[in-house]
Amino acid sequence: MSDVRLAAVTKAYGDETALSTIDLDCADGTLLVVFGPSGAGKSTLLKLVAGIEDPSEGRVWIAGHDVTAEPPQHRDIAMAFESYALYPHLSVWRNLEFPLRAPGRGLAANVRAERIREVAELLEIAELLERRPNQLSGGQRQRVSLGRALVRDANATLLDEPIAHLDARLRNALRGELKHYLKSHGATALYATPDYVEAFGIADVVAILIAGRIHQVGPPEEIYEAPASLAVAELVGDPRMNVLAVQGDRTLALGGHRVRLPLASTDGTVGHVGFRPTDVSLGPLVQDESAPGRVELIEPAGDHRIVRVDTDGTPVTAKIAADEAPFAVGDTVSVQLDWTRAHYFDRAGRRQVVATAEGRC
Amino acid sequence: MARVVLESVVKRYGKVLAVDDLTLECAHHEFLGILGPSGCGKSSTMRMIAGLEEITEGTISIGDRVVNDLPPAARNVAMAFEHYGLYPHMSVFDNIAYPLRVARVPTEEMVRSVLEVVRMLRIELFLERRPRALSGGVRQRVSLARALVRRPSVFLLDEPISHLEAELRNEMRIELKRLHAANDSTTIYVTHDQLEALTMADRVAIMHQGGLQQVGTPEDVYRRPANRFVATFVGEPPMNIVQASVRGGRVAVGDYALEQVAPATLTAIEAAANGAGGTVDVGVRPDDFRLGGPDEPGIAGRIRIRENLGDTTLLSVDTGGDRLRLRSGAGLAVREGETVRLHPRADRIHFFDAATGLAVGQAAGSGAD
Repeated sequence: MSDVRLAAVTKAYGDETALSTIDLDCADGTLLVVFGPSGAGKSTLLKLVAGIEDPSEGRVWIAGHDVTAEPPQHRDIAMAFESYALYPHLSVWRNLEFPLRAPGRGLAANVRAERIREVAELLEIAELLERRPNQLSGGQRQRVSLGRALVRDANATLLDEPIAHLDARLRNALRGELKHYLKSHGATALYATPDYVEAFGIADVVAILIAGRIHQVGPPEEIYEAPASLAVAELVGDPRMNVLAVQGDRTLALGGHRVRLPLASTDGTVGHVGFRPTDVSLGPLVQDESAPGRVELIEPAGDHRIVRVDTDGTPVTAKIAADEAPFAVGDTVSVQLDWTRAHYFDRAGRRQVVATAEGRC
Repeated sequence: MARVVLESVVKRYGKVLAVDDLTLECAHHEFLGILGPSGCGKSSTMRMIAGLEEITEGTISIGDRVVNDLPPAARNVAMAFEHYGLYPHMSVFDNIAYPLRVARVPTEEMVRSVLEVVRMLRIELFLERRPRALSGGVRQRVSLARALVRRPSVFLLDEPISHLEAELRNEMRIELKRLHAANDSTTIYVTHDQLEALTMADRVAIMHQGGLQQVGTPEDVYRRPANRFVATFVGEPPMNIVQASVRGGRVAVGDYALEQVAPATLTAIEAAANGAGGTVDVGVRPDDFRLGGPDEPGIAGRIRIRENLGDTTLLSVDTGGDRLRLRSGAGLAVREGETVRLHPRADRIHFFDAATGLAVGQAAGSGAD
């Protein structure tokens, strides 16, 4: 068993609280992604697990042991942080081999070579094994640094934005391969990223960290389908969720129309309603049935298009298939919201459970 | 009118041919994207238009005037480059105001123009700072601001947002497009990022190894790629390319024979296969597969990786010889390790000559819209 557990961990730097009361459990063999905007405390959290930083309060457990007082070298962790810190005088091969030669590992030379080759192939650096770090591009250095974390089996693997500096194509290709590698090696890993696609693509479990607090923990599909708060909802999804403010008790103003929320009952006052861009459809304007909007911008992206519509001052984003009826910038269209997929939030931004009236509005 | 025309333009650095006989036109008020991998010649092209590099052969004209021998300042173009080229001893404000000061714009108007552009790029808070006290992303925006503030007739933007964080890059894409729409200028935009090119440009010119591969609307280059390079460079994840055997009127990937290949297309495929050992390359985009059970028709494979991205699911499928990528709607109910069949949408299959890489025939229906 090599689970990682943080129990009521707080980290303060002077008066500033970087992390408040973090309770987090990464089960054995799980890929847990810590996802949040920059400055949320993601790196600090990983450093606490690594032992590079000490918590102000709370305990850190690895593989069933309380390691809070243990130095990093006693925690049996492999890590790749954003700054690469490679040995400049060693070749890529030697850099990758270094973690395998540490005292007590005792791996035979052919086993070491096999591991290095596997990782080098995964990360597409097999051609670079003889080079020195100063002969590599930033993206290549980052891959070597990542490779060093992957090459050995550790109690826990900590990866802090390990593919952030690669170009988009390689990042997209590597994301899935990295997941495959970690899963097939049974690794327990904590992975920090501010990138939504990366977080959701890799994770078994996502922990949403905003301003030093955990807002939600769960599998990607659960968080996507039922974000616990407005703050989470706005982080999760690309393009972002459309959030419309509710006026008065149960009315939404959209494109000069007042739309009544299709609710039978709620357990409080609805403050906001959210619609994902995939749950907004656009069509020709029909007689005062639906809200009108003016097409401001169309972004074709291959199989789909992102269309930004202005509805009387409120911008609404729709993601529609490329082969749907075309619009031009400046066209007036009807904006239809799929109320069966609406997300409701109270005035404090907390997710609300509602009972809807029958049918769609 | 600021039309930009390149005719038979060649650029050599010693023996290295950087740009190979490039003929390309950017219409007045057009937003033209030049897309390609690093080293394809796109930046050399841009630098020749700007006047920063000599033209080895051919002519470049801006607004119907040949500019080959004009210095950069006389071309009425403004540039923002990936490498910022800011003056280190000047504040952000002075860097941005510099082109206006040189042009002797009255102070009041100068200040107004600078403030307008810094607001748009959200760098108001940094006006007093020196470039070295800025992050890379902010520096890039300052460089962009300096290009935008002049309102020239031609904007040349070379990877102007590639160093920004994802969220800001998305916003800037929208801002740049709005800005282009609001001004009467012509924009040429160089990028290695296919999504940037597709989402922003009216037309995209794709370059590879110094040569122009295709010019067309985003839809053209995405739906009707002229060759295998364009097909795999445009689109993310890239188009899947698999080898198919061509025999007796049958085009087969492994044991799966493609359905509904139009007779005219089949004739073209057979002609191409003759010169390529009886094979043809079949291209299918990740969105254009339907996923079926192991007993249905299609290319057989096993799911290696499943990535749940919220509104879409990405799969990597191992077919024995190839790894195919597939993208489908939300919450696809399959698991890693499962055996499946991939059924390509007949009207979305592309064929490429396995020897030359050129597109063969047209996928049924893809040429009609």
